[in-house]
Amino acid sequence: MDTLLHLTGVSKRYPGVTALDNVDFTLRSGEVHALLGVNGAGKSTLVKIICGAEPPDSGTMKFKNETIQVNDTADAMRHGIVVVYQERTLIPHFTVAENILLGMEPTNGQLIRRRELNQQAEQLLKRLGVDLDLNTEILDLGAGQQQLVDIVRALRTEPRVMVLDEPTAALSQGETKHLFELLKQFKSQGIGIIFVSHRLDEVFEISDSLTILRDGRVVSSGPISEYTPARVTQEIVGRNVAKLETDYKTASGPVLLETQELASEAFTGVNLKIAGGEVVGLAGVVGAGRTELLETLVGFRRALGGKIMLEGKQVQIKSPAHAIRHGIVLVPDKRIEKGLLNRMNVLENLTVSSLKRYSNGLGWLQQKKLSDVAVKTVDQLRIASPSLTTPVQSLSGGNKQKVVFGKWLAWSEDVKDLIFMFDEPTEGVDVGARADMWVIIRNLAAQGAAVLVTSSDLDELMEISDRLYVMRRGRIVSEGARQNYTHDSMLQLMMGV
Amino acid sequence: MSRNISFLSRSNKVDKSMAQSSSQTVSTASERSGLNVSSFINRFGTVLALVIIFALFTVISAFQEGRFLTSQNLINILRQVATLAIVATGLTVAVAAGEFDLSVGQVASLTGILMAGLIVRQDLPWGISLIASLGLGLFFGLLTGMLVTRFKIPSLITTLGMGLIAVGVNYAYARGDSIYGRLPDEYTFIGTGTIGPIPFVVILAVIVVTLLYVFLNYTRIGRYILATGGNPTATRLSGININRYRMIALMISGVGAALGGCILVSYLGSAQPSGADNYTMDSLAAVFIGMTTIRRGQANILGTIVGVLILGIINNGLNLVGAPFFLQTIVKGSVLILAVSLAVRREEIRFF
Repeated sequence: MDTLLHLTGVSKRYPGVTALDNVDFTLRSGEVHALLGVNGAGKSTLVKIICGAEPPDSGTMKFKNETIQVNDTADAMRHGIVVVYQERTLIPHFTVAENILLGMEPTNGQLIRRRELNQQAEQLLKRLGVDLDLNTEILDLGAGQQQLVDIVRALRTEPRVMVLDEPTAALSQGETKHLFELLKQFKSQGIGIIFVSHRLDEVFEISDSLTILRDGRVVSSGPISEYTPARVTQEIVGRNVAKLETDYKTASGPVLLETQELASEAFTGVNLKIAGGEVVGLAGVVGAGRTELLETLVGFRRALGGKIMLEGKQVQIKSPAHAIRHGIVLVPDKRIEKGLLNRMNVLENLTVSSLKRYSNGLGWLQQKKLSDVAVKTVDQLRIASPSLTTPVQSLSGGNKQKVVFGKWLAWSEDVKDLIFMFDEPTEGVDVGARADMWVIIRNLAAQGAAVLVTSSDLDELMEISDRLYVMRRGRIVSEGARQNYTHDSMLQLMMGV
Repeated sequence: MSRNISFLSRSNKVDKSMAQSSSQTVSTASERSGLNVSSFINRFGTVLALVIIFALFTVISAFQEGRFLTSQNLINILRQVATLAIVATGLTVAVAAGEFDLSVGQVASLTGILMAGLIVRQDLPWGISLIASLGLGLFFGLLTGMLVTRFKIPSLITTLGMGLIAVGVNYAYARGDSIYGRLPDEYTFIGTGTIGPIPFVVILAVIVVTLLYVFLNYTRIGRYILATGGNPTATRLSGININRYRMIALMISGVGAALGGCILVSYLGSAQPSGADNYTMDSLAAVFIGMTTIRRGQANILGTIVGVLILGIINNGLNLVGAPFFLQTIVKGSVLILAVSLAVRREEIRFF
């Protein structure tokens, strides 16, 4: 394999922080090269420099042995370097074909030649081996297909280097599989792929080599065959990550939450039982109805039928405020959208659910008590934040996630007999924070809370759950103790094969 | 505290070295120390602009008759901006909750007309008229709030409609005429009286603005309003009834507008059917200018006051230096656009 891209001695400093320090990086043609590191290790800075979004302070970049200067993303594109970002960059009301050729439409004067546009898009899809309906509007597509459109658009200029930033974050297992098939095809066409991901299982499945960054330096690089997941994890965080030492037990405490034939638009006939002291995992592909189920239990969505019982008594849960009074709380997925008060600081985020307790009869906030409880929570969860008045947006993903959960820790006097639900608790967080979240979840159960966790990450569910439910197309299709399942048997149940 | 939960910090299940490697220690409750110069300018650039505009008029008028920097004129400026400050502060609360209120000017005009009408035509005592007028502002806010929360109509559109309705009701009540007549001295004192050298209306504005500032920043309801404006979904999932706080915020905006209308009539001694309509645009401009400073990207009362003062000083200064009247609105519009565009360029501030 010949070298496509070769960076030597690349450094980049921002005010107060060295983002990259003398980094070397080599990408060969036809390989998938994983770029790993915790949030803040320098991955995104390196990506930005490769695609021309940021200039390096020093260092050189060679494309096929030729030193190149990329001053902006258009430059990078001319050299055959494209990026597919984690966020979608599509126009919702345009069709697939219109999005793929956006900005390159075949025209007749000022008029767009529709038939030719569709033909060109079709040819591109055929060449790439992607199956998509050209005339569908983007908003009618699922997350996986939307991403495909983004990838196809990136490939319309026949690039030689493609950067994929967290490409599987929003994808279901099936969609991820499909994406990997495509990546193999692109490899065979000689494209070099830089794969940025937090998911180690995927890295080992698809990559040929990897580079690990820590604090802006390359700490390790080489072919994937030289690594094991344990070694990679250790190099990413720079220390040994503690394994969970938990006694997994079958339900110990009283049943706190039970549903009978619970139904909504997204699921039907759901019967769940969760007892105090256990962590229950809920598995399923994206779109199986997991998020909807959790959001219905917390009153964020409306149930259409069935019963919710708390400690044996039937309750109507009308709103999250109502659920919280009953002791059910949700740590939602998509923390930026659903979990954080993004413009507010750490203290304000941590205390927003407990203001009733920390204000007097007139509604006057008791600042001292608020900062006491916030300090305590920050300390208990080891939230890395310069101060309590730091804007929450400036924290890393893992710390943001801890803040979203922290507000319930600040709220609860005693977690015993409370019901905690987590939706994708470690989505987009680094390995260290991921291990922290697992310990937090296990500790909740150890102290008598009932915990329901749903995640797209099967390893995570297998690691932390005492018991598992598998959901498929809005129905619970399997239930049992964790040891009754394997990774593969779960996958089969989830996909229905 | 009786809580004794072991999570990460006291957990023995995690490698202790993590504490050093992954978490910096947290400095306690108090402030971040040491603002550097550029972040200071980012945060207070608009305040600096206020100072510069002030200095500019001081210099220009010094070459003329030097009437700008006199205690009489400074008090004048405060009197001129006091009413707008009240209306704009009420509006700030609505914007902080994530809602627009495009009806403040029209609601102020309507309540002014009602206030004068109740006194002059219905012969009611001024105190009762004032309560009725403020009640009308509250009612408009309540109605807007119900439409916004129950029927999920964006407040931008709802208040546009409510503003038009207010105009219609206004014309139906006053038939498009101004309302003149003898207004009680106690009432006209609000707009024209002074305590020592200070106009009463300035004192009133300081009280109202302070109360709303404390309310928004130091009470539970205020915090909930800010949270709702910041991220309604997250706030709702935190167990807070966001619709209640959107309603409260819109009601405060309505009452603020009503109070503004009543003060204006008290100052003028009569009510004009569209006398306060300008407040919609002026107070929105003040709120947006305010969003570029202090709590950047967020509607905040101190920022709004900076905005109100900038607009007031431009009005007064241009008048004094003898600029043509049409220049006032052109300059105000340009300052609004300039302030916001600089703020957006310097940092990624998203307004909405």
